[in-house]
Amino acid sequence: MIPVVAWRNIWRNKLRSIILLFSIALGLWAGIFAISISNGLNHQRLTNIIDNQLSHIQFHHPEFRENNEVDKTIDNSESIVASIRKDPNVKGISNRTIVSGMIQSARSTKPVMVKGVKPSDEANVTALNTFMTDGNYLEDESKSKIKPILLGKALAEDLGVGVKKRVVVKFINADNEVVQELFKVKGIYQTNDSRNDVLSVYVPQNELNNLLSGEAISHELAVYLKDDSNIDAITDNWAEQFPGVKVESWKQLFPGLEYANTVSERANMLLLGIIMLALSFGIINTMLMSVLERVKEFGMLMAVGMNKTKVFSMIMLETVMLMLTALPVGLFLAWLTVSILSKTGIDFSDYAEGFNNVGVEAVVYPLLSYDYYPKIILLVIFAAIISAIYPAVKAIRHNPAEAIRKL
Amino acid sequence: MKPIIEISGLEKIYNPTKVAVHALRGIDLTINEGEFSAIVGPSGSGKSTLLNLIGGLDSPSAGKIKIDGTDISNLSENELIEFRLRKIGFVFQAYNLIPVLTAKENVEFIMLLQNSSKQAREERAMNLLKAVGLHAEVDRRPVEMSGGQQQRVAVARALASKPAFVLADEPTANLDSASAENLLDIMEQLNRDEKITFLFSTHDARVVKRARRVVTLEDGLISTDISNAK
Ligand SMILES: Nc1ncnc2c1ncn2[C@@H]1O[C@H](COP(=O)(O)OP(=O)(O)OP(=O)(O)O)[C@@H](O)[C@H]1O
Ligand SMILES: [Mg+2]
Repeated sequence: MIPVVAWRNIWRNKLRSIILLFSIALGLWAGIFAISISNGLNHQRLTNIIDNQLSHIQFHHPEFRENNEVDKTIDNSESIVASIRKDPNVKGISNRTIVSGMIQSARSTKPVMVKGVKPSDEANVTALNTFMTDGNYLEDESKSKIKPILLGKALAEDLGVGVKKRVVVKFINADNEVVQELFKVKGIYQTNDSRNDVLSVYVPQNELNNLLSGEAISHELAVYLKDDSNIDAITDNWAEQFPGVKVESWKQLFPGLEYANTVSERANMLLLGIIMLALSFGIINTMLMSVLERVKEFGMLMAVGMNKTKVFSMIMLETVMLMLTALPVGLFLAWLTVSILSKTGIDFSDYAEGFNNVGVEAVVYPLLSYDYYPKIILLVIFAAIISAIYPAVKAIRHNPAEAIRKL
Repeated sequence: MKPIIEISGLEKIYNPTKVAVHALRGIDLTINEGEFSAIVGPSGSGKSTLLNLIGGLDSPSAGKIKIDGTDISNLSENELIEFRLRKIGFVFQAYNLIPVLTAKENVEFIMLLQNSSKQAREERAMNLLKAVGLHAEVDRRPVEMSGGQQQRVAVARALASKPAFVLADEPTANLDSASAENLLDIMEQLNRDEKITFLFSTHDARVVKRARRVVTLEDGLISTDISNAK
């Protein structure tokens, strides 16, 4: 019966309880929504980096990533590529030759990473072909006399060149000789990472290999998986299978990316905690008012034989019940908003300039994984219990004779 | 006759450190089983103080109170609450009932605190409410009842725990004459038929008239103690 009394007590002052209920629900909603935006941003940033740059798993000569030296090539790259391609987990693999050098136009000279790729394979891994803003993507069989090159939009602007214009690329080959070659801009691309766009230029791999050594060398194999949920196992497996090369997943290639996720998850819970703390003050205030109005009643209850533990737990129960009523309302509002907006997205294109610099698109898709909900529920119950203590202590502070005398 | 309340040398001083108020200055009193007795006296004479001490709601400054053989001054706070629950039925001047519960639920509540079964609770609550003439009002909440009806629910509630006696501090103070008479009729009937012991304080001459024993307090001392066998 005590739960019944507690529940009915909540509704003695309907307006007051409803106001509190909605402020808790709205606070929860706002907190969860903010978290889902931040999660969505993170997820998109990560997906973009993986989809358009890193891919899931990369193979290198064990020392290549230290200095990008031309002679640190992958042995037997052709046979590795052939066997990886057969793996049912693999969506695509791109075999790359990479050399750092300078690019020169009539206007200026810039440092670049020249990436020799097989156009159709690269398209399967980074979808580079979908980012063309001007001109055309590379073809597997090039017919033109002058070798084709793709530039990022930002770089093209810096160099002051457009499609069909010529640029000179300089680098040092395997024999330590300076190589200079004329390229014709075949296309301009723009990904959502402008830092990458000023640095990477793409040419056909066979042309680059010819300029470097004349052999079919490879510095990097980038693999894109159909489903990345087993990425760690797959990485380990390949590392064992191909002992001469270093096999690393994106997590090992850029440890900062995963760390950033963990940090932002903690920050999210902290944000929610702060919101709950603010709400706790509202709860304490409301419960305190309600308790002080009922001092006589508690005196009577204690006089007729209700012990302090029971009176105390009744107040705790009232607070927790109120919170638990608000909880589903807030969770439902949040769930509804997130599910709708995760499909439609929120358009931030007015601020897109800034977003591109950090590697995300202008439309944000809020995201909240289900394992957040139990954490939130626990947090709410915890806040309810903490904020109930003080009002409950107030309720049992008087001895019954004192309380009754106020009758 | 079996004594239910035995008081000796009872004193109560409020605010002993500041402006001390000597509310009771040495009371000796025995109430036996089956009595229907009134404590009377002018305002401030110590009636409520005496009833609070007997009810174990406050602790005496000196003296002894034995209820049904137990010296209650030795009980801890929790033991005292448990003791009140089992031994004493309370009727206050007002605010007797839990506002969010119906008449029947209010009566049941006390039995719930005693852990009686649901069936026993419902049966006894219905019987008691019938006994106080409220069979039609069992499902009403306090706000839906008159002051007199509320006090009758309080009497039913006080009896629900099968106490050794019922303690009532000015139970008719907020009632009109008809309701006051009606409440006394019921209390008298319960006393006569069920042998329930009643001890109540009052200002009201009509109530005093109905008591079989009248103890008069003056300035914290008993001035007269008159039994008129009826
Ligand atoms: N909690 C308290 N603190 C200080 N003084 C008190 C307290 N309770 C009662 N008193 C004082 O003790 C004396 C007796 O009070 P009590 O309430 O027992 O009188 P009463 O006979 O019930 O009066 P009334 O007929 O007005 O109800 C009074 O002088 C009163 O002011
Ligand atoms: Mg009084």
